[in-house]
Amino acid sequence: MTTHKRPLSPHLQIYNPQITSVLSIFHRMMGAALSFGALFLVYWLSAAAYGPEQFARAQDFFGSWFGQLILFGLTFSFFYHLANGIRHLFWDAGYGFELSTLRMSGIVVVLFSLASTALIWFLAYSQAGLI
Amino acid sequence: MSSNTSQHDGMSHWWPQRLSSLALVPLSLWFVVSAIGLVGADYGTLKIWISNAGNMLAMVLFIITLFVHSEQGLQVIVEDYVHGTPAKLTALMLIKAYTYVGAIACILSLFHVAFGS
Repeated sequence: MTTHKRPLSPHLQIYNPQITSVLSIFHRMMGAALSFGALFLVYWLSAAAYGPEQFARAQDFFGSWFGQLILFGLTFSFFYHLANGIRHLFWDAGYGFELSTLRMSGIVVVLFSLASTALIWFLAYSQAGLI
Repeated sequence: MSSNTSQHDGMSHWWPQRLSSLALVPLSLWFVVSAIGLVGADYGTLKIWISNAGNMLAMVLFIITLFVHSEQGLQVIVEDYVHGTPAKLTALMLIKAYTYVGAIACILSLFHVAFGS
């Protein structure tokens, strides 16, 4: 097998962080977090497969402060990764590369994630009868 | 099955990842909204919800797409940052095992709740 010394991605620490680069590495971090957060979906559904008692225990866990903290983190990660992912799809189609557009769409992504997370948690608390 | 797939056919990953991204936009939003409806739900409520054919279909599609997309994304991260063939191959195999087992566990659980006694 021929082994060529091919380039890998450069080490991130040689760059000065900018809003564009910080948001970009965030996209991967949130994506990785969501991938492992899927374990909680596995837990939730397999608890249901074990029966009513185990499902009730899982529901209690997600209602506890620790469960809520995890779900809150996953909610924000989800909306961030969703919005920034749509931003990526626009880039793939060839749009949005002007520096001013890049900055503005980045800010829109962050504001959208914060607002959507707040809205979802408002709805969840309403559903739980806590508001 | 090549050990250095990313080095010569990176484009073969590109379209599947775009497709799973696009599919996840409606599927994941549907799931989040549905999950709100199940806040504090008991087993009976969950069973009724998942026994609905439309909900079952959407959940199965969501789970498959979610784990496929996770595998694609984690794979790209490993290919970019994990150096050395044995470490890279091990990481890629672990990712594959995790996402396949996760998806199958979720789908079997859904079927068990919906159709089990």
